[in-house]
Amino acid sequence: MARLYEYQGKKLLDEAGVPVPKGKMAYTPDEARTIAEEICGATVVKAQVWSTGRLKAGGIRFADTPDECEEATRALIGSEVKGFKVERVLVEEKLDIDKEYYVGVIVDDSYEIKAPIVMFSTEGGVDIEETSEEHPERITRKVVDIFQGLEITDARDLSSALNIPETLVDPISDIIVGLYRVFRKYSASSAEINPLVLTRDGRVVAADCRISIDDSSVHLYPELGVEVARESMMPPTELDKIAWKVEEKDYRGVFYFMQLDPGMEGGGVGYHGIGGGGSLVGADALVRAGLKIVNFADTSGNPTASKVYRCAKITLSQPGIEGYLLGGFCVASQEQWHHAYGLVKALREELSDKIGFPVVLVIAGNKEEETIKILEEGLKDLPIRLEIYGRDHVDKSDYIAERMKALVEDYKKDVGVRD
Amino acid sequence: MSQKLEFDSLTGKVTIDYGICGGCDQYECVKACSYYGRGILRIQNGRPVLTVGHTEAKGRCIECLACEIQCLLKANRAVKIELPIPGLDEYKRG
Repeated sequence: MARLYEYQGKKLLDEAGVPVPKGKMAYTPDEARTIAEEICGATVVKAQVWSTGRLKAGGIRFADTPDECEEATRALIGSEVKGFKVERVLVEEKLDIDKEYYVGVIVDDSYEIKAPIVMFSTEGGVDIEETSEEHPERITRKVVDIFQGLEITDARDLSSALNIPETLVDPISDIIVGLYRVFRKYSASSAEINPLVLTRDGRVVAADCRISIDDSSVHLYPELGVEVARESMMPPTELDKIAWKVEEKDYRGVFYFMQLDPGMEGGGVGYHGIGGGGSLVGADALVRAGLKIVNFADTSGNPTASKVYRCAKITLSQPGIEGYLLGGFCVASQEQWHHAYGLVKALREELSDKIGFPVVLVIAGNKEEETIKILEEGLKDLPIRLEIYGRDHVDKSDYIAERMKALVEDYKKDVGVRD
Repeated sequence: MSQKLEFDSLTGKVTIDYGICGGCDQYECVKACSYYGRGILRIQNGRPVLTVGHTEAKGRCIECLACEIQCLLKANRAVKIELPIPGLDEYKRG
C-alpha cells in the first residue's frame, strides 16, 4: 500500500466535494504564518508524517495567533514525531468540535466477501477495531457491489441506522458517498475519515484522513506524486528510490528493496532473499542469530538476471556492510541460473577487492546443479569468504544464519571492526 | 568492417568487441545465448552476429547475461553488458 499524507488525502476529498477544514501545507514557519493570517482565526499545526497518535506524540499543536502558528511550525519542522522526521506541516483552521464520527472504506479480501466494505460509526477519533470490539452496535457496514457502486440511499441507510440527528443524515451520507468515490477513483486499498466532526456551528467536516493506494495501481495516478509504490512504515530512503526505479517499469519478475537501517550504525548484513515467504524465513533466522539486517530485498516471480544483478549491486552498495546473504529458502520453479548469472556479474564487480568479505548463497530449485556450478566457477577467483548451499539446506535457515554470523565475526576480526 | 557488435536490450546495452574475440573458436557467447537465452546470436565469418535486426533483438534479448559470463569464464572476455542503475554511483560517492 502506498500511503498518502493527510494533506494529499484532503485534497482528493475536497475535489470529491467532501468538506475539509480551511488550510494549506507549509514547509517553513513563514509560510505557516501567512496561512494563519489568511485563515483569520485560531489554527492547528499538524506534522505530516505517516503515523497515528500524533497529538499525544507532540506532532499536533494549537495556535491562537499567527505568531503562535509560526512558532509551532518552527518547533515541528525538523523534529521527529514517532520516529518520523517532520519536513512539512498542514496548517488548518481550528475546529470547535461538538461530536466525532468515523467513515471508512476498506477492501475485504476474505474468500466470503472479496469486495469493498463501507463503514460508519458514531465513535470517531478512536481505532475502528477498538470500537468494533467494545461497541459493535455503534458501527454499520455495507458490502459494496463493485459494479453498482455505492448509492446515496445506501449511505443514508448506513448513517440513519445509528440514530444520528435527522439533520445530519444528508450531509454525512454525502460524505460517505464522496469518500467511496475517492476510494474507487484512485484504486485505494483503504480510505478513512477519522474523525469526521460535527462542529458547534453545525458543519460536518473531515478533520483527518488516511488513504492508501494499491501498489499495482500507483502508476495510473502520477498526479499523486507517490515516489515508491511499496508498503512501508517510513518514507523511502535515497537508496529505496534508486531501487524502485529499477522495478517501476520492468515487470519481468519482482524486485523488492527496503533499507532498514539507513544510518548503518554498527554495521550489518545485506540481505537478498528469493521468494516472499522464503525471504522472510531467512531474515528471521539472521535476527535470531543476533545479526543486524541493513536491508530487506527480494527477487522472485521469475526475475531476469539483470534484475537480480541490480538487486545485488544495490544491496552491496550500502556503506559499512559486513556480509551478504542470498536467502533462497524455497525450492523455486524458475531456472535458478538467472539468479546465478546476475549474482556472478554483480559480485565480481563489487567484491573483487573486498578481501575476506562474507558471502553466503542459498539457492535451490530448477537447474540447481548447473546454477551452483555457475556460481562456483564464476566466483572462485574472488578473494571473499564464500559458502554456497543448495536444496539440502533450504530448510536449515538457523544453520545458515549461524554460518553467516561466524563468517562476519571472522571478517570483523580481519578488518578490526569493533562490535 | 565494424570492430564491435552493439545492440540494446530492454534495460541495457550489449557490446561484443571483435578486437578481443578475434581468433576465438569457442563461441561461448553464441552457445550461451542458444541455451540460456533466445538464440539471437549466430556465427558468421567467424564472428558472433545477430540473427535478427537490432530492433527485434531489443525485444528478444532476455538479459540472461549468460553470454558475458560464459565468455568471461571460458573465452576472451570480449562481451560487456552495461546495465545502468541511475543514481547509484552518486549514492556511493556519498
